[in-house]
Formats: sequence, C-alpha cells, structure tokens
Amino acid sequence: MSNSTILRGHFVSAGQDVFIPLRSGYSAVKTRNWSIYSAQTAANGINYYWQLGMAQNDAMIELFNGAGTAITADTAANLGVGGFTFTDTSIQTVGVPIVFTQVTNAAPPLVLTANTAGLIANQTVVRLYFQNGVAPYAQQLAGIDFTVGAVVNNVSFSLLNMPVIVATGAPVAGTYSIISGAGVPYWYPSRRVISNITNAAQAVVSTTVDHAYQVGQQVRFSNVNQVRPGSLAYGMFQINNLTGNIVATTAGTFTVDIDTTGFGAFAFPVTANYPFTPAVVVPVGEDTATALAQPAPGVNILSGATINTAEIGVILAAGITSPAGSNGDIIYWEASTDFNL
Amino acid sequence: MVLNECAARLGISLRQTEDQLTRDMLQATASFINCTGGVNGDNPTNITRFDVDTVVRALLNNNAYTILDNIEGEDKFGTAPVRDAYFAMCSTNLTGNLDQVQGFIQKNQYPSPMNALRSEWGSIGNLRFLISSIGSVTPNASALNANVYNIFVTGMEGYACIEQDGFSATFIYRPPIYDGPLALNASVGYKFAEVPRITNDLWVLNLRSTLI
Repeated sequence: MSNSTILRGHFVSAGQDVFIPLRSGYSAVKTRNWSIYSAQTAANGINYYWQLGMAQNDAMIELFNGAGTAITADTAANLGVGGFTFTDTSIQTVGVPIVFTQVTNAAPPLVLTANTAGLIANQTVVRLYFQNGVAPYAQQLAGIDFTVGAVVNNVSFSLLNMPVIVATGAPVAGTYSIISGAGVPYWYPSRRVISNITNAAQAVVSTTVDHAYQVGQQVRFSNVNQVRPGSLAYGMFQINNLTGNIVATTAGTFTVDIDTTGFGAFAFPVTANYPFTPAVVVPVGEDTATALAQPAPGVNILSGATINTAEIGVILAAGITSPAGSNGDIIYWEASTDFNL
Repeated sequence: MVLNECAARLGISLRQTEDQLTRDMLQATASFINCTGGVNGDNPTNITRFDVDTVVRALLNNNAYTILDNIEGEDKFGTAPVRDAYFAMCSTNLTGNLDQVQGFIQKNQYPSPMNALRSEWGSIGNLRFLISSIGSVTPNASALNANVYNIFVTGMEGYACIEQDGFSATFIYRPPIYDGPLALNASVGYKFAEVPRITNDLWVLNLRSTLI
C-alpha cells in the first residue's frame, strides 16, 4: 500500500533564495504564490511543481501571461530561471577554479580578477591556489579559506579578515574557488585559521573565515609557536596552547581574556615560510560564568557543545517566475514523501 | 535468510554512518599539523618520517597516552619490533605513500602478525596506521589544488561517541502482519542518536598530507 507524508508551511519572501529543511527528503514539492494569486500580476508565476525524475533546479510553472489576462504553462529550464534544488548541507563542494592575476599588499589584501561572478561581500568563502614551480609571491595564502570582503565587479575582491601580507618576489597569477556553505563545516563549533592576534590586555583575534563563536566559549591557541618544527616565524609563540574565554565577538574577530601585552607581535607567515602549518584556534568548551554574566538577552550557555548542524531539504529559487517569489510575496509550500507499506 | 542479510547490511550501514559522522567531526574541530617534510612542492606536502615524528612529539608533549602496547621483537627473519603506539586513522589512498616513509613496518613484518588489527596497514615510529575506504579527504584543499588527506592521530580517550539518552542504536523490525492490512511487506531499519566529541583537544591531532 502506497502512502505519502505531507509537510506544509508558508513564509514571506525576502526576494532571496529560501532553504526549507525536510528531514525525510521529498518525492514532490510545490509552492503557490498567494500574493500573485491576489494581485494577478502580469508575467508573474503562481504555481510551481517539482517531482522526482525532474532535473535539479527545474520546475513546472503556471504563470500569468504578459497582459495578465490568462494563465500559461512553462518550465524553469525553458524560462532560464531557478526552480527547486535538493540540498544536503553536510556536503561541502569546491567551485571551479577561477583565474586571478595577483594578490596585493593592500590592507586588507586585494585579489585582482576579471571574474567575480557569484561572490557576495562579507558572505562568500573562497580558497586560493597557486601554481607549482613559479615564484612564491603571496604563496602563504594558498590552500587557506577566506571570507570575501568588498567586491568590485570583475576587478577585485578583498580578503575581509586578513591584515597586510608580506609578499616577496614578482606577483604571480593563481586561481580561487568558491566554497559552498560559506566554508563552514557542518559540525559546530569548528576550528579556524588565525590571521592576526593583537597585543592587548584582552587580545583581539582575527580569523580568515568568520568564526560564528559566541561569548563564553573557551578556545585554545594551537600551532602559534612555530610555522614548522625549528621555525618560529609567528612571533607570538607565548600564546601557544593557552586557553582563553571569549568575552566579545564580531563576525570576523573575537576578544579573549588573555593579556598579550608582553608577548611578541603576531606575524602571519611570509612567502619564504612555505610550506607551513597555519596557526589555528580550537574551541574546547564553555566557561559558563562568562556566559551567565552577559547582559540580556544573554547567550546560550551550551553553545560550546558539539552540534551537528547538517540538514537536508530544498532550496527555492527567488524571482518573479521562481518558487520563492519576489520581496514581500506570501508563499505557501507543500512537500511530500512517498513510502510503501 | 533475507532478514538476516538485511540485518547484516543495516549493521554495516549503521556503523559506517557512525564512522562518517565521527570522521567529519574530527575534520571540523581537531587541531591540525600540515606535513611539511615532503618534496611534492605542495602545502601540506606528502607524508614523511619528519612529519610522523612531529605529530608524535606533539602528543607526547601533551601527555597523551599511547593506545597499543609494543610488540616485542622475535628471532624471525624479516620482522621488526613495533613500538607502543597512537592510532593514526586515514584513507586507503595513502597506502602507497605510507609504504615509502622511512621506518615503515608492514603489518606482515610484525613479530606476531596476530597482534595486527584487521584494518591496520602498518606502523611508523609510534603510530600504527588504520585505513578505511571512507577515510577523511578534504577535496581541493591544498595550496596546489590537490586533495588533502586527513590522518587523525589520537591518544587514549582523545575523543568519544556519546549516545543520547534513550537512543542507543536500535534495530527495528515490523513483520508484515503489523505493517499493512494485507500483510504483504515487512519493514526493517535502524535508528540511533549520538554525538561524537573530542574529550581532550590536546590528545587528537589531524596530520594533513597530500599524495606524492
């Protein structure tokens, strides 16, 4: 005997793609745009449907014609718009390599490239690569993930949380790839590569990728004593293996209760240090006293617990003829999973 | 017969899922050391004895206990004694590279091979390497865009899998009479809820390497 379990819900579109978690997967999914039903807006879609067997990012679409006088049928593929895409957030993918011509010594460093497609400022995570056998200019950044800062369309993007690098030799080209899921592993909290540590009564630590840590979490500093055995290039070797409690955060930095005023200055490795082990910060637990001392609304005192954040579900593309609709649209959705008894 | 086969397959699926979750947790949260002693020009480089010694020294400095006892030498041709060791868990793709590391002892060269584990490949210094086809690989993560192989080196009680209350692994079987009005089909499956967790971050290190 065949059956289906059905989940339903609704949301107000923000004009952006929407992820709906569906723990049991789905055999079919459909959305209805209540706002377009009501306004009968010309050339806008009202009904969207996808079923197993159809291509990813496709959809069957019913939409108003250009005059808004009749409903016509089409597909997302035909219209060249986004549809429904199955997603498993535990799978991190690496995008195709895109050529850049140089990394500059600016603050923060700029990556010069004629192709910035898909880069979103303060959100996208990229990984840099260099070619073997060429001058090692800026090669200390290779293989490391970075949150993208300001993007100048098809000219450059910055490495948001990086200080000025010391690059020697002639500038060389390389490639970058976009890392899916904002470069965040599905286990939280995850370790992060350190780009800088200040000398202060309470040190401020920058990470190459936004860290998502919270006040009260306890972290340990690792690999800060040496870039590799016998080479002490990081400078602030005194902080290695120390643990500290996070007392303040921004997206790309956090402040710990470790007095580093007497420590050596932190220095990110230079090209001559390649190959090396990056300095990392490792979450190790929670200091509940620090967490409880935070003013309202406070913080989660269990945020240091290891959490599997992976989800499976469907991404609804946004747009006037896509299932997540346009900004302000009210969308009703329904997803079903088939099973046999 | 069919049910036995299903149960066996589900058991493998259950434990592999458990392994994959633990593997990904270690990849995301453990501190790491890049191999830097190799000659392939990448970062991390291919694994060498220098890198094995580095990670062993780090665990020793962190007071991690070894997991396995030594295997005493015997008067047998072609064998060598094996040191007490930490576990090093990695992908089967690393086997060729491990063979080339200075001081590598294949498990059939152990004085008493019966002490070798089924998944073991051999030992180098104070590491005994356990390999798996689902070993951890981070795609395109090296400086030269190669896959990075994560070798999780752990001392005793470095990490644990914690079963959530009331949700230890359960095998589920619903016979046909309870599974449909015409008693045509049965259902079998499993469910479990557990969280892998590093218990002491100083005792688990991820030795990252590329292939030569």
